[in-house]
Amino acid sequence: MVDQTRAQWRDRSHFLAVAANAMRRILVDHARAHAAHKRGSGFGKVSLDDGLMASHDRSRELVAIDDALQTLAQMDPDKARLVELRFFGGLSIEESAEVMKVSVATANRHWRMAKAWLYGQLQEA
Amino acid sequence: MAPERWRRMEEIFENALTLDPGARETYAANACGEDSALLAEVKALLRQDAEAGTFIETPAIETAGGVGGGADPFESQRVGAYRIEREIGRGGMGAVYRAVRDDDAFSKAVAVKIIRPGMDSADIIQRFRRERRILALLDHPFIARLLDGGTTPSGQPYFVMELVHGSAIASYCERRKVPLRGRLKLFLDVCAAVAHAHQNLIIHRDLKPANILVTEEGTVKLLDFGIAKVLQEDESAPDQTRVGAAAFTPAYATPEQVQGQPVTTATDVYALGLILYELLSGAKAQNVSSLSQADVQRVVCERDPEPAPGIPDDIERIIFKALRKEPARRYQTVNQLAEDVERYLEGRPVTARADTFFYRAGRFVSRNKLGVGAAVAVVVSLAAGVAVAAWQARIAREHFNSVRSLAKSLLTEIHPAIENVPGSTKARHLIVERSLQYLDRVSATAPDNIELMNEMAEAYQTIGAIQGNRNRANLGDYGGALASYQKALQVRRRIAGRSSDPTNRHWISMLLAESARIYPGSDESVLLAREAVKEAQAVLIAEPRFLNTLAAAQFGLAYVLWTREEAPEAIAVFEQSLENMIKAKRSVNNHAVIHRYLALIYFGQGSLKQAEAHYQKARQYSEQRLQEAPTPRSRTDVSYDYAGLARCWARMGREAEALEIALKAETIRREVAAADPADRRAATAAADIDEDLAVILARLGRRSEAVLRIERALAAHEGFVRQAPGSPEELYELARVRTSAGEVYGMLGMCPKAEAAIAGARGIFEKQGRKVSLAALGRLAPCGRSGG
Repeated sequence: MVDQTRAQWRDRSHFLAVAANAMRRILVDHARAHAAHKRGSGFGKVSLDDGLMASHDRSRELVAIDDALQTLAQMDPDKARLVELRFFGGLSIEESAEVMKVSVATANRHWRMAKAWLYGQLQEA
Repeated sequence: MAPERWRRMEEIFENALTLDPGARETYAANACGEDSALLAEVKALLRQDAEAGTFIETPAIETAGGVGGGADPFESQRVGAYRIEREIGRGGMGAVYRAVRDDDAFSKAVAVKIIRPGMDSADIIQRFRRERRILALLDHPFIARLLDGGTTPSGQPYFVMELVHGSAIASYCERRKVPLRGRLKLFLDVCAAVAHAHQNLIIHRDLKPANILVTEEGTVKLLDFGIAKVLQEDESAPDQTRVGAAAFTPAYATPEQVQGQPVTTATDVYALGLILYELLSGAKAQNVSSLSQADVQRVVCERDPEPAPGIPDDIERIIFKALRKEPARRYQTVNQLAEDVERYLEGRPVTARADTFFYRAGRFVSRNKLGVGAAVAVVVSLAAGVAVAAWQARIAREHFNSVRSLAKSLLTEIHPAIENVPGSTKARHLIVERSLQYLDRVSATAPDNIELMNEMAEAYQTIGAIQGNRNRANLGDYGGALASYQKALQVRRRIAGRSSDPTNRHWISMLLAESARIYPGSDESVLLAREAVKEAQAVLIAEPRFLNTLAAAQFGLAYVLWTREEAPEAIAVFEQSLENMIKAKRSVNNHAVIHRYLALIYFGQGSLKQAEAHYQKARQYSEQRLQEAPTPRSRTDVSYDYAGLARCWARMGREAEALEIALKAETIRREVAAADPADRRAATAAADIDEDLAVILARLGRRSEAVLRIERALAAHEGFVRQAPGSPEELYELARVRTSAGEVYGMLGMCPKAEAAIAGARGIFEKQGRKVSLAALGRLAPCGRSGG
């Protein structure tokens, strides 16, 4: 499995970017599936245990962030990409700057605005 | 919003941020001119910027699936005697709630910290109980008291603390614009609290500004004292590499924590240095913005903080001395650090001035040495990362049905492929960690299908075995193994709720017994082992062919009882197990094992005749087996019985016979060990015969031979502990050999050595919370008691 895929990465930055995008899809798909699953009445009441394991609200938050990111990508693709790298890919600001080929200072500015804007979108949602 | 308009908003927003908070709105109003809609957008954005806090700062993977934990489920719930009112904070380890005592007429408010799922609860609670007595010693006006702890109905550990009304020290200083001297004085209060804890031999390990509150009256209160220790792995195992439940915060981690080295008071000194830096400069000294291990490692272990404007030179020197990468080069105590700050406040020269230049020059050299190792680590984690990403991409396509390919590829293909590759421990940890994350997420979506659940339980069992099954190469992560077994148990119990499949119940019993064996000395282990027996009995009623399960569960219970020196019951249960094994026609090898344990118990009680009789029975079985199949294993088994007989005879005054048969055992063991140097069991056996021979030789008065042997045995066992850090079993064995050393030195009249050996043994026994019976202590041969 390792050998099959390794050839596809052009360099470390490319790998990190692809990984971040994959993580986003996995987490959000999972969250969506989960939110849908819970809406179905198959399970009846949510016990304390179920609620914790499932982290119900967290799923909804992830879905909302994903939706908002799609909106953001239309106005400002760089900021959306930065959030994907950091929030979904778990990269540091330095790593993200490296992947996006911008300075750390620029990445920091992008991050602050993207974060503030997303925060507002989630308050409204 | 149109892109041009967005750009305009961005420009105004960014310019505004360069100004003081008070001046921002005025600037924005001017910049927006007539466009009131744009102004509203910019103002909202500025407000959101101020409020967003840690929003999306923690990578999603850290909180997704089974490891996150929504807040709501706990609200208006009871936890122990407390009723949760509302959430007041949350962090990497879990959430903090305001709560009141439900049964209390005065209903005093407290803070309840609930540890997030995924950190293994049984282990934490066991450690908490061990620590509670010590924590009760912490009574200081600047330390928030830890009042209670336990587990929630769903098994999550929680801690109850004094509720403090205040704000985190950094924001307190910021908000009140506390001047430099005021900040230094607050810092000295923090030092006083930490020093008090150190005097009580308690290390905080997770000091950070968020853990230090200042009340409106300006009183400092340190939170979470002792919790980090309870949450962390056993510190008696210094050089393990664990990814598990290390309870530190990356930005405030110390080099020794990141490298898995022992935590000392110097760890808190380092953290205090980080805090002082942040208090005075407003910036974090260690800028760890991703949680990748390589990143944390690089920042914490290699990078010195940037010199910050606004920090006076002498204070900067003090900070840098506290922040030395090598613990030994920091201030040796918190008081020394505090005294240097006091010297500065009084205008006297600080001691940190002395060796700054040489220190920095030295650091440059060692930093470049580190580079090589760090590069290797990055390559390893990246390679594992590729595998994980590819695997995750597949999950994205196949989603949860891919649990099969996950379990198969990650656990049964990739892991075995690297299992024996030297230096693959980190990658193996990563694989275990990722498999767990994935399984946890899948299990959260609750498959409704028994076949799938069975596979999930099996996957958890496999992970548990990789983490800590003593019968194979394991990661030494016993806490993690216990947690995985518990997860397997949860799934199996759900299956049991829907199907009476006896095989599933057989596994429940075996998982309980396996969990019990992980920390054999504890109270919990006895409860688990008893439950295992009960479950096995229930299976047996349904299916007589499961007699083996009962015999195995009884064996587990007897073993646990034996480690707790509960001799009478251990004997009874071993005998029941033996009886069932005979009925179930299990191999005679198992009979020999039980006779051997029975012999050990009787020997421990001083019932030499019974011990001898059981060793003779075991010897019959083992010699018979040796004739049928002379394998290394059967040869070693025979040697166990020879050595046992030697121990009995030595104490029955038959030293000559004892020496003869012990030498026979030695010959066998040395041959077996020489044939396969990688065979750990044989190496242990070879070391142990030295111990037995030392006792016999000491009784015969052959002093120099006895000393040589016992020292060799001690050295070998110390080596085993180093090789398997974290293994309570290895530590226990070392303690046992030290006990024998006490006996040997005692007989030879070497009192200081005898006392040191006994103290060393006792230290381990007590640390493991083991019950040490008077009989065992009696055998410690107090000096002055000759021959015995």
